Amino acid sequence: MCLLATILVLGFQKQQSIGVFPIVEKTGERDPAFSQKLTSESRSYLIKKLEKCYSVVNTEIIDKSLAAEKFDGSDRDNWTTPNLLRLGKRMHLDKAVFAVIGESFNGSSDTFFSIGGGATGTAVVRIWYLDMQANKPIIKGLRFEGKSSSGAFGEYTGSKGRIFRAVQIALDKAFDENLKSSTKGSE
Amino acid sequence: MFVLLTAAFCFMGQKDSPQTPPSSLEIRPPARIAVIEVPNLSRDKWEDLKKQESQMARAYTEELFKERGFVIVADSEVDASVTSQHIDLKDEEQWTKPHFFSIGHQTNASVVIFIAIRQTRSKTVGNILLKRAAGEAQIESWCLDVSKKRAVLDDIAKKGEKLAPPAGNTGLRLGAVRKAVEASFESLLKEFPKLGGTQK
Repeated sequence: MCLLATILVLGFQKQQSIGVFPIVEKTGERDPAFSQKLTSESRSYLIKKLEKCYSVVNTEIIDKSLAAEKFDGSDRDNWTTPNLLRLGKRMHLDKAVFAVIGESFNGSSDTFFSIGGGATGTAVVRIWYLDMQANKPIIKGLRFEGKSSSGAFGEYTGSKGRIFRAVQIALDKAFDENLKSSTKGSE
Repeated sequence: MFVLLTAAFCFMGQKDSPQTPPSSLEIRPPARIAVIEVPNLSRDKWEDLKKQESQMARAYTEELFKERGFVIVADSEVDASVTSQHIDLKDEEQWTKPHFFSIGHQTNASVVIFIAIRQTRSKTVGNILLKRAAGEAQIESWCLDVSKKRAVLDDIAKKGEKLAPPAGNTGLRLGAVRKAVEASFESLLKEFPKLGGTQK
């Protein structure tokens, strides 16, 4: 029992912490409810992905800390690597992620037999993935594009619903390669 | 069916992407306006076309303000200010309001405008029965009141779309950029009528 506890503690100590900042939506979406669902759903998806490699800090703690730092994610002046590194350090994080959904397109891939039936969604996500210990970015504001012809969320179906999946695909593109080298407990 | 399709094709306007509604510009002509060089981040491979789009966006923005009586700071003067302050416009992290304000101060401009072309592309609209080429552009824009140190437009995204005329499909992307520029400054320029001599 004692040995197990020690292993757990050692394992926990080795695990790096990561903070996922609130995802920002800057596509000019007219529906605030859609925007809110898209950002919160995408953040949850990203957290689930990162949990395989990191100890993800509770989002409430991150949000409160950012509010205390008066961080406004919607203000582009704040989207700079030095600023994001500074915030991560202030929060004693090992790693941090900040993402902006910058573009989204609805479309259709009509075929002769299904006019209007092949709804597609495209999203471009800009990502900062920061290493506070090394004091440098792993991903510095790069854009990742996701396209989807399937997927939906709640009442959002069709091409609008596909955007949820398109964002997830963009996040996969950004992190799958980078997380390959990371295993839970070590980097 | 045909009427619907025709109506769809006749739509040559802009797709709005309103984030924050633009507030009004309190500065009046003949105030000096500095329009910064336009970076083009489109993933397009045609560098020549991208350059043309950037130059056109800058020139057209200047024209929109000039024909309303504003004085445009010479491009060379604005470019020199960007260079002297070591601002790299290809680096998006340098698209900050403090940088734009400092360009305004250095060029003695009352207003600073910055536009970035985010994406341009060609696409096909319509359906399997009737298709037509179109150009689409997405731009981001800033308009800053230097004296009041306030952003009138702060990173506003707008889309422009240009449908091909029946006779051909050249200049669609350039046309789309032009539409996007118009959409960006449309509400801002409403209160400034064109000067008599330049009114079209």
